[in-house]
Amino acid sequence: MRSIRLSLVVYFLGLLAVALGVASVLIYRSAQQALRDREVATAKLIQTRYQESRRKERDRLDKMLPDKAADVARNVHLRLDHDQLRLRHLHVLGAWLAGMTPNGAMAMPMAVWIGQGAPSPFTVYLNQAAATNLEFRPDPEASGKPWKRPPGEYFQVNATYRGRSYKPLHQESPTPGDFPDITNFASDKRFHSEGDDYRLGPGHEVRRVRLKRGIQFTLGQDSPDWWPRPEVSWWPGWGQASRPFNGQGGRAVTRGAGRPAPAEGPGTRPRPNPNWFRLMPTVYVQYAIATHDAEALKRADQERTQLASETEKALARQRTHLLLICGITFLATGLGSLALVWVGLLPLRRLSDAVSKVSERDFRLPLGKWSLPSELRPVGERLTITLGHLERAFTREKQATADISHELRTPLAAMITMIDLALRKPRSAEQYRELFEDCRVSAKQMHQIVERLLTLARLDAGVDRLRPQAVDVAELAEQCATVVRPLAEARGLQLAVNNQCPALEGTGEHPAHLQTDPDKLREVLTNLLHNAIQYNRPAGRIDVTVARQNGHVRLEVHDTGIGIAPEARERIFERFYRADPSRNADGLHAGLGLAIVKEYVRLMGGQIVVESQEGEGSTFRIELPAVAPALAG
Amino acid sequence: MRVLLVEDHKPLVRALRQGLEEENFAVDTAADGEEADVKARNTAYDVIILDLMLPRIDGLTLLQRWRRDGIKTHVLVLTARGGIDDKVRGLDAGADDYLTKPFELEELVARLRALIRREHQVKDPVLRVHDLEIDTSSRTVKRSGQPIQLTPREYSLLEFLAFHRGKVATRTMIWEHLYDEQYESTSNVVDVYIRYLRNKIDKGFDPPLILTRWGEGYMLRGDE
Repeated sequence: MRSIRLSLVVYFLGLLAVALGVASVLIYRSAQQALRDREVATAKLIQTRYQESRRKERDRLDKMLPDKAADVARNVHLRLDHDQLRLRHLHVLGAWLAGMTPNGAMAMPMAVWIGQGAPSPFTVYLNQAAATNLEFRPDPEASGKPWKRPPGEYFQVNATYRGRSYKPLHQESPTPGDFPDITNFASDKRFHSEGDDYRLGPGHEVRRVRLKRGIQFTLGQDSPDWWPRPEVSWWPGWGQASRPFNGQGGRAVTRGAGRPAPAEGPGTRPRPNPNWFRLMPTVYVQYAIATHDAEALKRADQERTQLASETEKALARQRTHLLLICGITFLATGLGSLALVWVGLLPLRRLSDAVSKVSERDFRLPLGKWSLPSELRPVGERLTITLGHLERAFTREKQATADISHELRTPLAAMITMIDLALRKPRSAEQYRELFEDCRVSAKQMHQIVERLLTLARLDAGVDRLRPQAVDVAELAEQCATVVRPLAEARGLQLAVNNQCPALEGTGEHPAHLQTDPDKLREVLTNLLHNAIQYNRPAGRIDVTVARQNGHVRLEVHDTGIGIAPEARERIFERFYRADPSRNADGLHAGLGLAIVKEYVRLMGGQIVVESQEGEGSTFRIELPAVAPALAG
Repeated sequence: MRVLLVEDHKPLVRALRQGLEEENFAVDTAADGEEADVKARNTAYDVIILDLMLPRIDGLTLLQRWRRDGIKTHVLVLTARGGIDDKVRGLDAGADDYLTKPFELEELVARLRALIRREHQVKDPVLRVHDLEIDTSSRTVKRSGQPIQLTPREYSLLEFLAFHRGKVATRTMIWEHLYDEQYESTSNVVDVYIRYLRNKIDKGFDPPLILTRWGEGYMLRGDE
């Protein structure tokens, strides 16, 4: 990512999005769960309520229905139309009697009349044959007009009598559906009542009661009053039993004192004749009251669907809310994060501003009073250190440039002055010679400085390479000493070379072999020897020691000279540094020699240290490895 | 005129000394800052030539110290440092002139003379006293139009008296300004040279210019 800010914001927003997403999902799930649970509970509640109301209604209806059914039944009679009696076979008898007897024509009706009055199977047969119709014959004591029922109440009355079935009776208002034929209802009982749910027609759920009981006969309307009614009081077996039927129109024999009506509840009849019910017409009443099941169900369903939709809406609301919250949060934190990141990265910006303000003139990081935050502190410190290095390097360079210019200019000035002098006026040959000699000295000095500067420049550029050879250090030391000895002796100094390497067996030689660059080593040693000569006291000593130690070769140059002050000891290897410039008698040394020595030793992979006692002498010690690292690989 | 040459490079010192002495300067040398400080405070030089890159005490520091302590001797900075910053720094530190190496001897000498003139607030390189004319640049003397030959020492003495005309110059002052440190002097030398000078300048001319102030010293007659 190119920009820290951008990447931070993006990562943060990504994290936020993930977090919000997960949180939202979890919240939504739990909300969903809660809502669903509530929905289920409410649905159960609705269901329960529905069932409860249904139950209540049924209970209510169940309480009402038997009464109503009984009420209807009470008003139902089998109509006896004796007039309809067509007793053909009796006609034959009648006709015969009419023929046989003087009032034979009256005989038949009298026969019928007699037969009717006498409680006998014949009477029953007669009655049975005359029973033509089911009809309503409202009992004055019964409720109003039984065929008029409030809306929603339906009934059907079937009857059987001696295997004969009759046209059913209904309420006045149309029945939405068909009642079944239940003439085989509770065939093992003479009285039974049962309630159940029934589907009368599509959309018409009713609560129905089926009632089976006996009913009364009613005489036909046109039967005269004097028509003998069958008395059944003395019918054997019927004795104390309640009179299920009578001949009186509309009068219920059963309304006797203390005697319960037959259809009013499954009462007990004291010792009824088990056969009598076969003789009595049985009526099957189906009374139904429309339940509001369908409506209730529809309402319940509606409620349920409403509930479902509400739940859905709530869920949708929840979703929307969550989305909105997520969105707003995301936006707000997005913006906030931008601001925060901007603020948070302000130190970086400050630092980069400060860095860009670093100039060549001032190598300090212009942070002002602001202190770096802990993360940037290492950077700041490092930067400051590096800038310090840079500053020192620049200063050193400037210093070096100044030093170089000084170093070269002064000998030049000397030379030019000398030449001016020489040319000013005529001089003697001797004077000219002197001046020329001085000029030469200056020229040589300048030459040496230039050479050393070139060497240092090459070393700095890394161009100077080692040219490795097998070198016998002791031999090289001897060579250098030989070259330098005249100079030393000119000053009355003693120069000695000690070879302390263990002798090789048999040969008596003391080799100190190295793989290194001989020219450079020679230059190093020569320089040290020159210094030793330069800074020595009269009649002093110079000792060169070569020794071998743990695979290293140690080379020491010891002089009995003026020594080096402790503070100078640190600095003598610096370029252009002169510990005692007043000793610059012939201007030979520009302070570069030791700098070059140090660089060469470093290149050869070794180390150089100096020990010194002021007023007593100095020792320069070089340690070189057997193989210069620059050569290895 | 006495000059202090502060320079650590020995060949240059040798060459310069010779050159300046040929120009009738008395030259003292110092090879490091400490030596220069001591000499500058103990002797009244006419001008100091100061190199900046000195051991012990740096030239610039030395100069600042001198100025702070009220040493008013003119200082010409002679140095290898030739950058503008260096020049500015040198002049701001209290130098009166700045010359970079390598230089022409002629130029150095001319500047020194200019500094000396400045010290005595003399604008005209030709010093005129009555009918005496001293051309300081060519080092020639005329009286009443007549050229007079003087040895270098005589000339130096005359020039010194001319710069201090109207004021008494004690013997000490005279030999301090005309001889360098190496010369172990007796005040007699001064008297001798005064006599030589009188012979050449005053003899046959009127009025006498070289006057004696008994108990004090000598004086060149000033303008009345």
